[in-house]
Amino acid sequence: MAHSGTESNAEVSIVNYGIGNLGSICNMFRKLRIAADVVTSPESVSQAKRLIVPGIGAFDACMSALEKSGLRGAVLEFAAARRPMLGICVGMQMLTLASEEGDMPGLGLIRAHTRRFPNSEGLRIPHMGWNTVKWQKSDHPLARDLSTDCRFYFVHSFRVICESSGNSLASCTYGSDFSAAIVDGSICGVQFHPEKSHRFGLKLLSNFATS
Amino acid sequence: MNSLRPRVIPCLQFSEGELLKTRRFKDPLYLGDPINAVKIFNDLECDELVVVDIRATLQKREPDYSMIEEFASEAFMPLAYGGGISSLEQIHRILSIGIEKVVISTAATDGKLVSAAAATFGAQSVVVSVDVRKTLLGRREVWTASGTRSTGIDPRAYAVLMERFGAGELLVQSIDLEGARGGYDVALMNDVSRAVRIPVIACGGAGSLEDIRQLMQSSSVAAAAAGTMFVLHGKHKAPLISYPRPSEIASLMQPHEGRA
Repeated sequence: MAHSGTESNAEVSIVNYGIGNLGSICNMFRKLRIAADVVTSPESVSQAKRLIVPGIGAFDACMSALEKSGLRGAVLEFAAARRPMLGICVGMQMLTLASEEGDMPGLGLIRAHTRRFPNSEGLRIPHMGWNTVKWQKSDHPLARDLSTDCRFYFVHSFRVICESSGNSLASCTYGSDFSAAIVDGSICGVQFHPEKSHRFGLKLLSNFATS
Repeated sequence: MNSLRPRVIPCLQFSEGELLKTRRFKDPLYLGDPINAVKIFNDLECDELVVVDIRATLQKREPDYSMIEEFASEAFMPLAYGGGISSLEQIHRILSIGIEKVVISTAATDGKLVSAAAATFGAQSVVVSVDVRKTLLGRREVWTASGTRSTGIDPRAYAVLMERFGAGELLVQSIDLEGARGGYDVALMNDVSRAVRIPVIACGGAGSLEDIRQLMQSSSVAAAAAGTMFVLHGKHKAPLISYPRPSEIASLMQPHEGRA
C-alpha cells in the first residue's frame, strides 16, 4: 500500500510530506477497494493519476513541511497540468492564496482566502463536529449522489472565503457562511474530513477517485 | 447557527482483546469482542468513538498496536484511543495507524507530553482525560492511573492547566457515577466547561437519552460520552449495542420533547 514505485497503478495518490493522518485516508480507500498509495518523491507525485493533499494542524507548519519535503514544485506542476487534485482540511486551505493563521503564502491555486471565524458571541473555536453542507454546484462530479442532508465531520479553526462565488462548491454555516468545498477546474478542496465522515465521506472519495 | 448539535460518543473499555465495562472504575464485566463492537458502532454511524485500554497503564504495557489497527480499519468516524500513552513516539505511531485523537491521562499531569504532542501533532489530536472523584468531605479531586492515584487538584484548576499546556479537548469523567446509569454530574461538567474554551466531553453516569438531554440543556459541554448505556441493556445488564438515530440526537437540543 505505502510504496511509491514508478510502476504503481494507484487510482489515487496521497502526498506524504510528513503531516496529516494518512492512515485513515488509506483505510477508506481500502474499504472502497480503490487502489491508493502514499507518495513521497517528486517523481511519484508527477506520475500520480489523482492527487490528495492532506493537512492538519497549523497552516505555516504545513506549508513549510511541504516546502522541506521537496514536493511543493511537483504538486504545483501537477496542478498546472490540470490533473485532478483534492485538498483535505488544511490541505484545502493550502490551495488558497494565504491564511490569517500564518505568514507564509498558500499555493494560490484557487482564488480564495483562509480567514478567522468572526468573533461572535458564543462561537466556540474550533468548529468541531458534524455539520451539513449546501452544494452550490450540485452537478459537479464530487457532489454526485450526495444530497443536501448529508453530513460531514469538521475540525478547523480557520475557514475559507472565495473571492468569486464561482469557486465555492459547497457552503456551510457556523457563526456565518464559509466554503466547505472549493473548486477551480480539476482542483478541489474540502474543509471537512471525508475519511472520517461515514458513507457520506466514502461517497465523496469514491466520486473523486472515479471523476 | 452558532453552535453545532452536540456529539454523542460511545466510550468503550477493553483490555487484552476483551471488551469490558466497569462500574466506578471497578468490577470489569466481560462483554465480548471489542473489534466487533467498533464495527457495529460504525454501522450505526456514531458521531465519534473513544476506546480505552483500561489496564495498559497499571500493567505498564505498551498500547496494543495491532488491536488499535483493527479498530482504525473498522471506524470511518473520528476515533480516539487512550491507555498507556507516555511518549511522543507512541502517539506518532497511533496517529499514523489512522486514529485521530489520543487520550492522555496519567502522563498528562506534568504537562510536558501534552505540550509536546500539541506542538507536534496539533491540539486537535490531544485529549486529556480528567477523572474526578469526590472525597468523603464532598470535595472534587482529579485522579489518574485508572482512578488509583489522586492528584489532589480541583477539576476546574486542572482543566485550566491542561488547556494552558495545549490540550485540544477534555474528557471529563465522574468516577463515582461511572456505570451507575443515574445521570451525569451536571454541576461538575458545567463548572469545567465554563472554566475553559476548549471542548469538553462529559462522561460517567448516562442511563438514557433523557440524561444526555438534561446535560446538554443545562451545561455548555460540546459532547456527551457514555459507555454502559450503549453497550448494556436492561437491569440484568445483557450486552447489547445501541446508538440513537440522527433525528433523536438532533432533538436533544429541543426542550422537553418526548416527555410525559
